Amino acid sequence: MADLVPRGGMPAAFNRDPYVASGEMLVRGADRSDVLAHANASGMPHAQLLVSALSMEVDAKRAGFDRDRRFKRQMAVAEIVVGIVAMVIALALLGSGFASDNPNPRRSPIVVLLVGAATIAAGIRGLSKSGESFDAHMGPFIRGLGRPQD
Amino acid sequence: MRDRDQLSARLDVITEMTAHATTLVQHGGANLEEIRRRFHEAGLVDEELRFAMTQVEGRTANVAAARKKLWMQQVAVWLGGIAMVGVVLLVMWLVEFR
Repeated sequence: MADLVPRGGMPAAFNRDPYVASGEMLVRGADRSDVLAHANASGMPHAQLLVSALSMEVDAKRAGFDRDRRFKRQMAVAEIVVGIVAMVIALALLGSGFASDNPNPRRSPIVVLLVGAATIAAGIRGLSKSGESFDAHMGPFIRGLGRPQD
Repeated sequence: MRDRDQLSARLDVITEMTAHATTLVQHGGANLEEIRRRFHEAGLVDEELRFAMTQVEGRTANVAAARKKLWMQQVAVWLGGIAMVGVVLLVMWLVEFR
């Protein structure tokens, strides 16, 4: 956002609502002192306190977001590992069953093969979903800043 | 009257800040010294700073327990995965070889 602002100028949003604009800048990773400078220049009352409070809130949300993302990725990797192990075992059993003319039914390795594939698919889906950016995740938060508090 | 309203609003913001600071410390995003520095940057001094730090220190006293809980949660995920493989193998063995 700071790159879009002409040198020495102020982001247009600061003229409309400096509080929301400060939140947006912080979510996009702008430096705290930079945001405070813009807020002060826009004449925002209690800028020092409010920008500090906002930055702490954004940092807390970012820390929580990072932790959740780490956890979701671990879950997804665990699903993929379990799926691969299950598929390898099922394939080995299926192969040995065919090789030895074993009259035993071969239904369960096929079921395990399908379950393993589904688990891997779920893991891959989880991995791709955990790639959401912090900016996108914070969309509702930014919109909420513009609304009056109860 | 206006002064009192302003003071009350300022206290509300400080209280909200302490809640976010607590979350930040609990998630490992900052330590208490960093929080003190940021409160100071926000213009909190003397009584306000003491009040804010007391709140944060009180609520983060059991941070170690929270981190341990997270670690145990992660171990549980992996144990759950291993157990799932075990169940799959058991079911296959029961169906195919018994």
